Amino acid sequence: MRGAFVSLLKQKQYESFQALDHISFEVQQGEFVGIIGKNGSGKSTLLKILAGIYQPDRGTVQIHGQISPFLELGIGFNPELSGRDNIYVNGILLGLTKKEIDKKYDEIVAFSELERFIDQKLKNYSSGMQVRLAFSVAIFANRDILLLDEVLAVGDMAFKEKSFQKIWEFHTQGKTIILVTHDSDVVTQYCDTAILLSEGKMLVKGDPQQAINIYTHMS
Amino acid sequence: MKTQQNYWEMVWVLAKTDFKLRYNNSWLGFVWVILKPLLIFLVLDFVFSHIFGGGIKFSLGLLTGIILWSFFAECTMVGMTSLLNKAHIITKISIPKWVIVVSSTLNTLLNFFLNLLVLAVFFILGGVFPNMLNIMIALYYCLIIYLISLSFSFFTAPLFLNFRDMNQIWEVLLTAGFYAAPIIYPMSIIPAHIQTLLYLNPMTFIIVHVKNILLENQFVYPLHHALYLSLSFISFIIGYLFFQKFSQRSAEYI
Repeated sequence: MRGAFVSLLKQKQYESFQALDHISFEVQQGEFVGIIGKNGSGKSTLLKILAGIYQPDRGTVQIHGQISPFLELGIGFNPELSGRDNIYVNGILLGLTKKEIDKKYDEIVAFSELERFIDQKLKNYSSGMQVRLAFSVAIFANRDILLLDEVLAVGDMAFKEKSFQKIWEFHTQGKTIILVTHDSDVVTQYCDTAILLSEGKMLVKGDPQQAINIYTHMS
Repeated sequence: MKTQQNYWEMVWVLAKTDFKLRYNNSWLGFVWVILKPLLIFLVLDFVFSHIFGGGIKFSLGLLTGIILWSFFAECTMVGMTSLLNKAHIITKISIPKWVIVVSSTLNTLLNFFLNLLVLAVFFILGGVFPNMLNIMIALYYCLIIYLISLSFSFFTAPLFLNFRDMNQIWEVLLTAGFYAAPIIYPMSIIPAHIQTLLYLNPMTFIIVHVKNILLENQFVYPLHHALYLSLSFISFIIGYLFFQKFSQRSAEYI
């Protein structure tokens, strides 16, 4: 009983944790950058800072162009809304205007291959279908810079393939892509540059193959 | 440029979603919006019309007070908790935080307009017809309630993320505030020195004057109105600036 009172009076404290420390790098327009590192090394925090969700305690982030953050798919999705309504909620949150969504709507639905289910509530979708819908909106909300947090590990093999094709297409169009991944094949095959994080510090920035080598030695 | 338009579209689409979800699958849920203040009114009217002599004007004044107060109570409560309630959005994407506060509170504004329609019906049934100008002034004050609630929300929504007991405290204060405003009793029965005290409740001024305007066709003390309006606008501006400064790191405190 006494314990309960004491904890009641104690102020709730957030334990501070330095997730990132002295990270500094430049990314050129059109570059395909892979960020690797163990769980808890600060990859997602770094992306969240780039996306403007978190504020850095020190230092600045300078961005030229508009960012499309795909840190999580289906932001604002609600199971009680239809697929159609969810496309609009999600699309507008991702920075599309209603007009743009109107224009791209058919393409979005076609890409998701969910034409038959689009007026059903999202709660009746399988999780794979939900992800497909989310990814399709995200694909069409692309801007100059794409931040991807392991979102490629979605859907069945065929859809995964198709999604990656799309990302690659963006790359060839000259868009900048920053991707967090655990898949070393993706890094070595597609990335121009790799950043290896460990305990909030940047160990390597440069050649993907070299970064992967160091990473595999670490674990 | 385009982004500004996008933010207002966000406000709209989020408010619409909230509205759809709130009455999702429940027809009666929607009816409750109107029914709840009416039932509270019936209970209070039954009890207090005996004490204060009753009459049609007392009942209409009571209903007006209850509807205005419910709007204030609901709007501030929703506004205060809005950032936390939309955690699934603000931890995932960087959007201006005011979009969240405004879209969440818009819903209560809509509920309020529905209640105003009911109020209008009661005025007609009661045979009390305020003139058009006075109705406009009353509606204008309703928007001022929204402005006050919004500035309250701007102050409290970022703070609530750190002090999660605030909504409990606010609930108690709202109950106290209901009795500290001339809703169930006429202002005239209160001794003068306590009347001044009651004006510390921001809703007291509005309730007194809206009742006066609608029931007595009286618009008095224009200077007080000017002062009240200026204070509301100043608090809104300060609230907004406070919010801009302290909502930046919201995502980190959730």
